Amino acid sequence: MINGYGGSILRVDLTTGSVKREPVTPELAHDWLGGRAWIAKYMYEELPAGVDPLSAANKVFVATGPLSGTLWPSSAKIVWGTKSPLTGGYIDSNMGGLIMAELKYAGLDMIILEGASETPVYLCIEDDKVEVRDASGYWGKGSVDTEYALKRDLGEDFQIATIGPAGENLVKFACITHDVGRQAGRGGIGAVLGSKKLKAIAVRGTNPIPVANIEGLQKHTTSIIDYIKNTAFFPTFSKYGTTDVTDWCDSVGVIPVNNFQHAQYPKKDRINGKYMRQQMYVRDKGCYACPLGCSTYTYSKKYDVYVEGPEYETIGLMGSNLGMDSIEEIAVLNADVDNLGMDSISSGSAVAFAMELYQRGILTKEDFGGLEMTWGNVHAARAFLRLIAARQGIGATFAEGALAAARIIGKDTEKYVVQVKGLDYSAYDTHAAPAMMLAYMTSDIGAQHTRAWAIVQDINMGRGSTEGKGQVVYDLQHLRPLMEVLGVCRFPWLEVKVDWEDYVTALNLVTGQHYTTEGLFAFSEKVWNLTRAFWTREVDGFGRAYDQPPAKMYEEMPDGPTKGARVTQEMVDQLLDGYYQAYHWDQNGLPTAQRLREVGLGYVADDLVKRGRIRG
Amino acid sequence: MRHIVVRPESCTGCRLCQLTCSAQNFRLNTHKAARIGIVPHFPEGYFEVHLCNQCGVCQSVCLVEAISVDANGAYVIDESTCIDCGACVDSCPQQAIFRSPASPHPYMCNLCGACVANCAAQALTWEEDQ
Repeated sequence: MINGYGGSILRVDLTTGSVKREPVTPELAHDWLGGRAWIAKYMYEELPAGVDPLSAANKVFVATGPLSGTLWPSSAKIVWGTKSPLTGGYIDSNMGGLIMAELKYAGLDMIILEGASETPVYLCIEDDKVEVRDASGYWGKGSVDTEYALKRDLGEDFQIATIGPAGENLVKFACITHDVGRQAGRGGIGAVLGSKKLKAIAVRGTNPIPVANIEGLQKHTTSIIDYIKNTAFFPTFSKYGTTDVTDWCDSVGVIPVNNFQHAQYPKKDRINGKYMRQQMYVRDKGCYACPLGCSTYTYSKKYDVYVEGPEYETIGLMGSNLGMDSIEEIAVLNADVDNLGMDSISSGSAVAFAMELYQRGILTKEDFGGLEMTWGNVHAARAFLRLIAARQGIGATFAEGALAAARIIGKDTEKYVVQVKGLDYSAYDTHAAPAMMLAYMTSDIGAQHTRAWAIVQDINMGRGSTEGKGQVVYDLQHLRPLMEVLGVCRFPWLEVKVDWEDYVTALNLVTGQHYTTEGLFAFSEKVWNLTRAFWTREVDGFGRAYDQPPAKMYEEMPDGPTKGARVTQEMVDQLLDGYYQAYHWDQNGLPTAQRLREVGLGYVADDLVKRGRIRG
Repeated sequence: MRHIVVRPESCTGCRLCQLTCSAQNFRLNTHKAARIGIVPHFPEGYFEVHLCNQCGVCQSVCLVEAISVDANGAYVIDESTCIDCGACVDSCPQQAIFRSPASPHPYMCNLCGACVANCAAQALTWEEDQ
């Protein structure tokens, strides 16, 4: 028994249908903690170099952290990772809900999914009983529909994660869905499950998680909840959640409009959190052990559809970025992509790119099979998303992701795709936000906001200036990814200002160890180097060229609060120079053998030198 | 006497009440040993909350007179008398008497109130008897 852990890793070979349990050793727990750190380690060590992401040789790692499923507030994260079919590099993506706790109650801290089944299957876990079962009756069903069906068939107290038709059809931004509306959205992990013909994971467990000092943990938790309830931020964030940021993003000119052609939205009052609550509110919904309950479950009368959310990223990418009229259009698009099983960020990006090509006359109504892809046309967008999920007609092109679609279409269209490393931008424009842009450029999965949400620092420190921004991103990239190592949500820290040290205290109460912030930040740097090393190994010519911002950022913003703003190559070079220096990487942004050894990754240094990826 | 009042419309389904209850009463990290129940209903979007409201039906149906009321007004099952026949569990109008591996006998809310402190959504609050 190791405090904070279920105790085992489940290895599932989908080719043969065999399963085996491997013990979590005290060294693995202590030296690598869990969550995304385990994923980075196992991915580097177990995936054959150059593996095709959609081949049987790729693996999917599903990992909890030592705080996942504990009494500590918002301990509701589970992380999914694999080699991304969208980017060709490292991806991990996490979800909330309740499944992380259930997995640990079944004695499991991580699942490793290997091989590929010939026929549709799902994984059913009930404590020690693990079965790979026939899923032909669920294949073809929507993600959320499959969850309801499995709960009906197995029992309401099973926790279930599913893929939808998009994952089955290998759409490269297919996601994984759980608890109605919680997704591991990014980078196409759902497509990798689809390639393995794994429709779902269902789990139920009965064993409590061993905690070193449960009395201390309860006391600590109660004092933090007491603090949270009395903060000025709590009433607003628990009510509006991420939608609360919509008005602010509009006022400072970072909300994406019509595929990032503008950054202020005339209809923002019809897509913000206040309007959403007024029009569609059903219930506030919380993930496991979360006092914030930031999710809003809604119902659109206009479209007769329930959806969890929309969250701000979806409001941005599928709302203003597509020129949609109101929150109800966003809700129905959100419900569609949830059930089809596609990332709402990359789905929004793909539709926005298509609409811009239509706007510019590069693709026509005929190209889109008769769809008029005008801004705000919700019916066309809905139909187009279905074509993508089914890989039908032009949908097959866009199912590859917006960047790959541009390369297929040609005609110099790549410049209209807003992405880094093939992963589409989240909903914060960076014409005048150098720190946020650097965060996108250097995030270890591609352009994702959660690794370092630095937009606030841009506003506070000066939007045109690159001064000090490298340090901001460096610091955030050390703290934030640790949340996904420990298995907790960042929102108590970010939104209601729970002190990071309180997380460390909780970690020590749960594990009985003596972790320190200093030690954890050093560990975080090790993991960041490891994911960078994975990219270096997997992608030919990887380096500075892959850390560049989208071409659009070099074009002047035509209007709004950031009118006239644009990025220059000089700024980009400055940002990257400072950033690489901070990490002790070379000028091309590759980790040096010396630095890898210093952070405790000597075996990775040796491997990359042997492969000729870095100098010895 | 004080009661715990449930406002299910405020419940977010986070299970902090259950986690806290299990920690307080059994020193276990789980929501499955709790003396309070939550049943999610989706897609309709609401949570049923099952908690003892001290109605006393269990006491009247107990065949071995194992159930009494303590100084706080909480109903308590005497473990040495209880034969675990399940009559109370089946008859509870609130579906608020529970069984779990944490105890050989059924149990219900003991009004310790640990859950109330940790319910940030205020779906659980104290109310004084008039």
